[in-house]
Amino acid sequence: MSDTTTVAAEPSEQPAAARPRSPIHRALVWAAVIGVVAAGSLALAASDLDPTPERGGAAARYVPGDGTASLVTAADGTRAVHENARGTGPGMLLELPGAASAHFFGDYSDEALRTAQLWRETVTPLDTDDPQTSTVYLLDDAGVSVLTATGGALGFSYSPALVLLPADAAPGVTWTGEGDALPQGFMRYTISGSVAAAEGGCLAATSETRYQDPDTGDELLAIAEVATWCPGAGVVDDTGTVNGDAVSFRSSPLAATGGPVGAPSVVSPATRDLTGAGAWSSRPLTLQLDDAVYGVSPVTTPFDGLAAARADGGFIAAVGSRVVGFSVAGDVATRRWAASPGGDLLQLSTAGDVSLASTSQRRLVAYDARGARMWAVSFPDVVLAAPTVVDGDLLVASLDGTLRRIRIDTGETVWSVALRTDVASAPAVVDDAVVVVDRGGNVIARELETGAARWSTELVSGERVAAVGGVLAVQGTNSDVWVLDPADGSPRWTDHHPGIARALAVRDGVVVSLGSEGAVAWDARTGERLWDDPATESLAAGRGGFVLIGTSTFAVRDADGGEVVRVPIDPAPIGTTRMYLDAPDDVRVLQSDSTGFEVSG
Amino acid sequence: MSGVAPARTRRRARDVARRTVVEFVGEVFVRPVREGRIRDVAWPLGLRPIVLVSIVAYVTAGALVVFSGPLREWIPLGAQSGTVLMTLPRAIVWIVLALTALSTSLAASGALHTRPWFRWLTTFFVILVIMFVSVPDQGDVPLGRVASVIGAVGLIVFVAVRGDRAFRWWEFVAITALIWGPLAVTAAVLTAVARPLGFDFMPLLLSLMLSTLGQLAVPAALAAGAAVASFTVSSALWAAKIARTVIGSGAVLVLLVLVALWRTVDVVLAVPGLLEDPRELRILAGSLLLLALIAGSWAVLARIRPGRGEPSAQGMADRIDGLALLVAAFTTTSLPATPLIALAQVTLGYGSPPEVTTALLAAADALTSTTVLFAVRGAGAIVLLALAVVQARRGRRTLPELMAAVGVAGVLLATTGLVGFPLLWSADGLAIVGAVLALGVLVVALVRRRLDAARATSVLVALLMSALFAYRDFIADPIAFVLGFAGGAIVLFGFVWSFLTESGVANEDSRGYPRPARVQLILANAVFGITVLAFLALARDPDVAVSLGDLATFGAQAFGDPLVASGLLLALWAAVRGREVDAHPEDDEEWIGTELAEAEVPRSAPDGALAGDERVRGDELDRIGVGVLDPRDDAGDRVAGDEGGVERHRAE
Repeated sequence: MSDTTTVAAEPSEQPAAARPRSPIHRALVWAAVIGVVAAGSLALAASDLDPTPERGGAAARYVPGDGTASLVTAADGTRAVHENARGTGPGMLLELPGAASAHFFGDYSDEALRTAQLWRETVTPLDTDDPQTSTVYLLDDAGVSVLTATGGALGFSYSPALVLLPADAAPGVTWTGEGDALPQGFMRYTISGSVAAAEGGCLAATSETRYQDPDTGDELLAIAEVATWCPGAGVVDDTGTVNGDAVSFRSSPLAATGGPVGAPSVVSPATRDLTGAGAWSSRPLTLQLDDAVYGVSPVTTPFDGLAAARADGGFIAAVGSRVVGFSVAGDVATRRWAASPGGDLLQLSTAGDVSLASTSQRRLVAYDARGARMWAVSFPDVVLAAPTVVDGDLLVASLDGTLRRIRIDTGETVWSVALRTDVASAPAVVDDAVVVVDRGGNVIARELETGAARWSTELVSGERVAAVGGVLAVQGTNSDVWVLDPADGSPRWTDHHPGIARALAVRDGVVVSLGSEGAVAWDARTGERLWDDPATESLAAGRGGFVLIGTSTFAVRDADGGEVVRVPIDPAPIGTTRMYLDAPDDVRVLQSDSTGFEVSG
Repeated sequence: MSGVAPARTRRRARDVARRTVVEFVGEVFVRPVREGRIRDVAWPLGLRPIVLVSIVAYVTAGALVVFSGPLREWIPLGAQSGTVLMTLPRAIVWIVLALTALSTSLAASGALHTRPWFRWLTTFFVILVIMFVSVPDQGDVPLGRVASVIGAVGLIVFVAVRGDRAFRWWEFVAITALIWGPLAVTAAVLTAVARPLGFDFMPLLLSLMLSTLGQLAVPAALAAGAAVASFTVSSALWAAKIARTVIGSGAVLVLLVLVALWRTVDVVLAVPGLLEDPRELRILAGSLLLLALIAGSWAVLARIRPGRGEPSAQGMADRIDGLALLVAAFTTTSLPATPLIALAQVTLGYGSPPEVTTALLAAADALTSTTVLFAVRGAGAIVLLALAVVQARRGRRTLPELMAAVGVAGVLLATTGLVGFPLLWSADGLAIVGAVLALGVLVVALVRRRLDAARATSVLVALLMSALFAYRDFIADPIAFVLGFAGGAIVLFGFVWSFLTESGVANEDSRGYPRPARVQLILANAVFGITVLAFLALARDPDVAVSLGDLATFGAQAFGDPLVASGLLLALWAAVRGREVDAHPEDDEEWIGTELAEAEVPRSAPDGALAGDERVRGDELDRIGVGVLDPRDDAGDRVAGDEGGVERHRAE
């Protein structure tokens, strides 16, 4: 390498002298140039990779991880699915009934709440009709402590939190505590306990918890137990007495697939009936919590932009990376359960009564109508598209192009193929073939029974596919529309309408494409344009027509384009996201600001 | 004795096969890389470690692209909700951030000794980046903002002091410290604040940066789209030529028969579909129109050009990437819109009235509207046609024809975008029309018994070109299979191929753009482009920054298709005239003697080595940016391995 500059940029400075440089000088130059980049990179790495310190002291290592689940069997043989969520900040507290959580916002400072590390354990009984219960724990300097227990016939809300495992958890450690077990001092508690070693690196925490009436001093409840805490698993064995009655349970990890939950009652999507839509109108939807102890309170936590309708009329929605399930009666939607699939939620969908959550942990997790985890299937990459239901199975495509047929009741894989391309749109089924479109516009058909290759074709900018009744339609990014021959993928006709593509539907021999500049309908057989509509937000098909939603109108049209009903709706408030739920007998709209409305008869 | 002859024959066959492969690889792969790569041409002290660091960064980013699938599978993903949902392998976010910062440092350092307008424009943009990153720091004591202001002021002072001086190695160190320092402080502050609250800020920061700055990779992505066409033309040309020169005319005939049969089958199979679909017929008509308009423009150029001579297909293939990058850079309206958007964010974040932000965003919106975008592209195409006329009048060949072809295509595309011109070609349509025309020429030649070796070679080139272009996915598909990432393959191929073969401009030197500046700017562009691609590949989402795959597809249409059309026209014209396409290599002296002399003014050349008017023209070209256009058939290969290539060539 030359030691000299070849030119002087301007006459104000002469070229560097062509003098030899010493090896040390050269080495210093190399070291400086490489060093400054290395130092900058290390600084960025240090900032980025510095782990968040976990609170709870030594007890924290016994807390289960986010999204883990276990099957817990009591001495009487009854079973329940326990699921764990971890979170930072007050989000989990805000999901509680208002009466159970309000006092925390006075007990703890803003800073403490903003940085609170919480663990929530939900318990969904499998063999009884009891509702799901939920316990929220706090990890702090005291160790692992219970903040609230809600959902059951008994409810607690502790102040200060009831320590179950002290921060210095180790054999020989003892602890005591006392405080309120209910808001406003309706009930007091005292606890004393000690820690001993157990097998397999676990700890046995022996404790006595007594609850008293603060006015009379009467003992209302006495719990004596020996809880075995194992690293990363929580309490795996608990033996003791409640008011003198012996109780015990054992916990084991929930099998990823083929678990104990059993077959769901309904697995097929509900068929929406639009024949009576002429009498539909818009009305607000009340969203609430209903707790046996704390009563009714409004939903205040914002929805995260993901929601889906169940066949039973209820729906699910995303709240702070967790799933909540609602049942609907009249114009009131009541939260019934919460689920924690782990990681961040990427997609919510349903198959009949089964709720499906796709997470950033590359898993698809299924829940039954009670909110009990049925199975969790891992994929090489995340699942961004809603699975498609066919013959009681799910067709799932993950982003890496893994296409699987999965048993909806057990999660077991029927077949799996690697398409080696990125797929972000939902599969469609036509003529015993499953068809997907990758992000490169390749339309790929596979045998429904085996996953074997059938045909593929390339449609520039192809984005999503829909198929009903032997009609296979593809929508391109710029609202190109193709109808293909299901036998070989050859185009039967193609057309285009302006705007960025958003949705595609096929029904009754009509193809409807919705984009950012309106919707257009074609005769699926001839490609003849039938009608258009100004809707830009959402499109769905049902028996008797199509639902077309715009920013300020809701319309139902029959296949010929006749307007069955047109209902004005309020534009979405600024900064809110709308989620359109295709319920069997109506259309519900959830808004990210915890409000909603429905258009129905 | 009986075994000797077959053994000799086998040996000879092996030698011929080996020579064929070696020559083909040499012409199609090795020569372009040898001519176009960055070389150590009298580099000053300190430039080599900068290049090394940049190459390591480039390779790292390339590896992130190639291994993005396994990385997404093996490393826990972090999700970032926002306008788009993004998942990234969480543990390598900092690497992408560091690569982005490095490319920014290279740009700032590279621009330091360039023309003042370019120097200060780049500095302004780099300062915007520094300030933009610290906007989210809303703390009571905003250390990130303070560090950013210090870094920005320091950079301004440094550029003012050092801008008019010569390259020194420590400038890169100082500039890197001024850029990375605020970034590292901001990252540390924001992470320290956000993480205890349960927020993961770094992916959001990276997403914000690349969703804004990613637009700067648009020209490179558009140019990358032309790489496959360039490769196709070169491969077809050299496959036929080498078959003739190494194996013999018989091989040309055998290949011609095989390829003619192949393309005949393709055409016959395509005809029913074409006849059934009026849209396909329109596409065929559009393809014919493109060929006709290009041929017409060439006829005009031939009339106004003094002297005789033919353009070169290989010359066009060699120049398309550079021309595409230049045209894309001047006609991409998101380039001026990007600093406006960044400025809007910075002004809003630093407390300016909302009206200022609104006005800036409105201006950016206006710039990126479809109408303005296609209007600018159309205007650029017309300017290109005018430049082709100017170049032809100066007696140049090849480049004017290429400019005219790209200009014609640009006018048609802009017309389509603005008013919906009905006769737009497609790559497949072009391949079919090319095949039909080549088969027609072949049949006529056979009927008239005039199929000599030269004509056969030209027809073979045309047929191979149409075939390779029709099956152009043979390049992208294997890469896409490895990547598992639709749209990424063509961009990756284009980026890498362009970097390897189109960086020759960095080996030159001029007053306005000294060699160290060129080297660093080329590296900045290359590292940034592939970093954006790495980000897209790791996020597996074309919407998180800028859809490079779609841009490359458009680039293939805007630049690749005209190149292939030009190659087909040259091959067919040569066949009609009974000549071999590219029979006479470009006149190097003519190319060097005009374009290089004007565009490149080597400061190390003795005073008076160039006529005064030529120097003025060179400086003018520098000023308008044309000086950066690669006069790539220069001394690179002719004086391969020579550190003073240009100077030595001139001495000759």
